[in-house]
Amino acid sequence: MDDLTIIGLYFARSEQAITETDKKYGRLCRSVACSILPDAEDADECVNDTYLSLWSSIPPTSPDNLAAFICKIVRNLSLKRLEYNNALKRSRSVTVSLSELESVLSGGNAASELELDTLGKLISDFLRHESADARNVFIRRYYFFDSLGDIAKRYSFSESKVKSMLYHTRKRLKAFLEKEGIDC
Amino acid sequence: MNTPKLAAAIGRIDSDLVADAIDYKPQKKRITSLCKGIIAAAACLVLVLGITVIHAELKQYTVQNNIQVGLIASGAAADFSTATEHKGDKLWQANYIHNLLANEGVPFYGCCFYDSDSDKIMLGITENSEANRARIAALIGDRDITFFECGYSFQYLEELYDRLNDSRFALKLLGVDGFCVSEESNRLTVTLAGENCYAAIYAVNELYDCRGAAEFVTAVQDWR
Repeated sequence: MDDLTIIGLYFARSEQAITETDKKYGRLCRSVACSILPDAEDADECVNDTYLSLWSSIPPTSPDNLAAFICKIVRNLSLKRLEYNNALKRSRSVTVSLSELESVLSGGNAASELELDTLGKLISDFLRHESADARNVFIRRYYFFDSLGDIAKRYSFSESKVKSMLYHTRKRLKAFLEKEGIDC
Repeated sequence: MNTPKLAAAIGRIDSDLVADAIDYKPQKKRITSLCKGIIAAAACLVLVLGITVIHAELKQYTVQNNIQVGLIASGAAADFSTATEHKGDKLWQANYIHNLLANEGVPFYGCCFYDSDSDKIMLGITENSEANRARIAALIGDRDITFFECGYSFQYLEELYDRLNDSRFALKLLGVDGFCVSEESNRLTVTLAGENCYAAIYAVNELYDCRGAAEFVTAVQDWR
């Protein structure tokens, strides 16, 4: 079923919308959640919470890109759950990914929504000027929290190439943010 | 653990970027059919040029060393229709002497054949000395033969023959149709598939070390 029809089902308040979403994007959701959360039960809960969140946000929201919209929700929910569970269960892979980012922009203090939106726009601008390979490797690593091995396999690159691409992209991002007046 | 500010901000990047990353497949560097054609043409050109250059070099080698390729009539067999009893006897004697000396392994023995023009049995020895002639006479008895000095001993020519025979299949690919020890010329006669088999000439002379001891011939159609 295409995305517009699924969105139409949400607007019609049909419960089939959840079934169809799960059918089409269930695997993607689980893969994003599992990349962030080490516990499968936590990941499943996050996926279910994602469907609930979709149900409550559509309508009024009508996403341009349903896949990206779903990914955004599942990612945010998973990261929140990770923060919640942090003392007991910590996903090593996500911790590694996050620590890589800390070298670009220090400070884990809570930022205002406006600040995060501005930063998100700047990162989008930066990524648009990157090569497609570098951009997508970066997003797979820091948005979807894929492991280096998974990215290498997905794009038929060597792990060392992925590592090197990420290193150089982070370096350029740091320089870009500094240029834009962001305190790194 | 707090989510770093940057990680949180990355969660807010534009949806189209995220959507692209979901479906993204890196472009494989494919060789277009035009490129394939150019590469194939270039390879062919290099091959043709290579062959041309090598052929020219080998031809140059043949010219520089003044190597002639003689012509023989293909399918020409010995014509005994006019052979007399006398001639037959001489031929038999020459053959007998050759077998005797070859089997004895006389190191200075070169060749033995009947020369119908002079009606003589010619016996070639690498050193035409009194001692050598006496030794031959002791072996073959009192026969009417004419000694002459030749360039190569039969043993040496046989050794060259064995050397070529060991590589006959490789030589066949280069254009060597056959080879034999020729009594009259006291050489190893190498029959080529054509006059332009320069690679074969080079191989026989240089790779198999037959330089000087090999003569080259090629068969031509006998229209008689």
